[in-house]
Amino acid sequence: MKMRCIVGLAIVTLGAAPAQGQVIVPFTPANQLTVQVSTSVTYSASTGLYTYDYTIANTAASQQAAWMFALQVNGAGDSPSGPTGWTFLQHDDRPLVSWAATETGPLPPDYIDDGNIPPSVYTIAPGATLTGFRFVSPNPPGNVPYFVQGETRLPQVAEDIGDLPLEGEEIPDFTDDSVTGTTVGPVPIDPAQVYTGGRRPAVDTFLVFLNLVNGDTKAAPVGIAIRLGSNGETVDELTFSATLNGTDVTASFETGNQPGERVGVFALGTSPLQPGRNVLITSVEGTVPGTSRTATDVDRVVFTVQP
Amino acid sequence: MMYVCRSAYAPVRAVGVLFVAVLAMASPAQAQDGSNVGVAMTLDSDGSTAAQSAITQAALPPTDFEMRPSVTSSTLGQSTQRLPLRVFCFDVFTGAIVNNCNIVISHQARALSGGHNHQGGTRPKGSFQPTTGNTGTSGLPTTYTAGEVSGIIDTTLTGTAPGGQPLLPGLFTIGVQIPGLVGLPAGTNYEFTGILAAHPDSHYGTPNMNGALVLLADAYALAYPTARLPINDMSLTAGGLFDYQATWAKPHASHRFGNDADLDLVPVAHRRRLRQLVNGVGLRIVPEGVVTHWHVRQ
Repeated sequence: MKMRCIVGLAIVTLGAAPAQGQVIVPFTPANQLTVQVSTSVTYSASTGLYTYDYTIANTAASQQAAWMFALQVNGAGDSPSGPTGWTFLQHDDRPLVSWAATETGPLPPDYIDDGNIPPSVYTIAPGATLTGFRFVSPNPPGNVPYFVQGETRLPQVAEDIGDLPLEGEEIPDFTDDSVTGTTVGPVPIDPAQVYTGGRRPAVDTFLVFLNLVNGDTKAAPVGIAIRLGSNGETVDELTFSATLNGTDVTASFETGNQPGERVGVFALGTSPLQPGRNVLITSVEGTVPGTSRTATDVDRVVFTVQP
Repeated sequence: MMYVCRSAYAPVRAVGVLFVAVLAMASPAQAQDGSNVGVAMTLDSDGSTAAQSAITQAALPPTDFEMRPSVTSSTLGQSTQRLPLRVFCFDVFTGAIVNNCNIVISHQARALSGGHNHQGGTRPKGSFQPTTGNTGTSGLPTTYTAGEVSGIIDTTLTGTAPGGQPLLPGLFTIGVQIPGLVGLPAGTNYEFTGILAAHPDSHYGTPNMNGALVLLADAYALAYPTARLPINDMSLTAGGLFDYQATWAKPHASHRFGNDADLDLVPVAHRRRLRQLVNGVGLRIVPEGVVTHWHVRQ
């Protein structure tokens, strides 16, 4: 009799077990993909705005499709647009913008809603390339981190998040659960970080670099913003000239969106910009403050472009 | 005759508290049996005060002592919260300490406190160790260990003076709570769901969590203008174990600290967008149940 009771209790216990402690979908890292992020930047002298265009190539060897692409940028991305099925988002909690494949498209005929996220036909499958991630910004190009997250199902439990081995703490922030790298994006000019060249104090501020310092390493394309007459000196803007790796690129510098500013955007393949070591030499004439004497500010900046 | 002491937060203040108490008791202090010895409790100067949180925005009414609830049935935030205390006796007319009293400590969780509007079952009330003893010449040290459920712990000190006469009982309160939780106010872009009579105030969170949910709801409404974000269980007014089944136990392992919320399931066509928006306010998602809800955590 006693044995029967024990057996009966065991059956009841086993029957109730699946409802608790069951992980339906375990946490899966969403960085099981390899991507290439390429950027195109154009500058409009008429609006003073840079247009940033991104293309994402998900390599054929990737194990996951890409569903989200984020950039760490300060300031809002204006006039955003994205590929079909993707939605732009300015994040509220930190300086990020992102696009995500938020539309599902036609669901598979055998799709059954289990409470998780549905599949999307708009993700970037392994071996596919997608372009059209775009926004404009008043800020010139610089290096920014990017994050591309792979498509995974959300970790799901039968009853409570406590069913997960670490009660949900194993789920990282998406920036820690993505493939990351550096690409080109808008970077606000820091007035405290201007580079004068530092060779002839009397004339160094005839031309200053707003976002480039000797020895920098940059992702391509490279945007270079300079300011003429930084301290209010009288500068003859017609004498401004620039060479990049020995090629005259003076005409590539257009009027910037602030007084005295010139900006040039240089891409690999369509300009003298080259992977590895690059040498930019600039020159402009001005009047030495407190005198009537004319002098020339010549600066030489060496920087590296990531291949 | 009851002696109530308030705000005995630290030994250095205990004298003041004692003095105020003596003034208040000066006229009616004599018990019917002739006792003039009261009993008081203060934080133990030898013990750690780590358990005594800096309560900046209390959900509970004022209590003599305040501390956080323990977490023993979940590994998240697992901790045992202890409050070191010391009991001593005093002459209610002079305020002088009376040595060698025999003390008995009893306590109970106040019904319906801490956001729990239910009484069935055995409500966890924590424990004192020891519950009896003699004050000797330096008071009786005892430690209260909080349970997992927030609320008010009513503590009664009784016993006998050295001459054998009964002490004037002392009643003290311990507020067990997660400090700083704030009720999510009603909003136009979200609605509260899952409110049950057992826990009528189940939408409390940290200010940061509340802010994230409001931003999330605003973004969701912007994406789907006719939709309102359905926000289910968050935390109770004073935090601690949220026994939504009114059993004084899980299944909610979390929902204790104000940084968890359940969102009722939105339509399939909205879910990928909601996932992006959740990322956009710095939360993380775990679907709970099958076609039930999403748990989001900050």
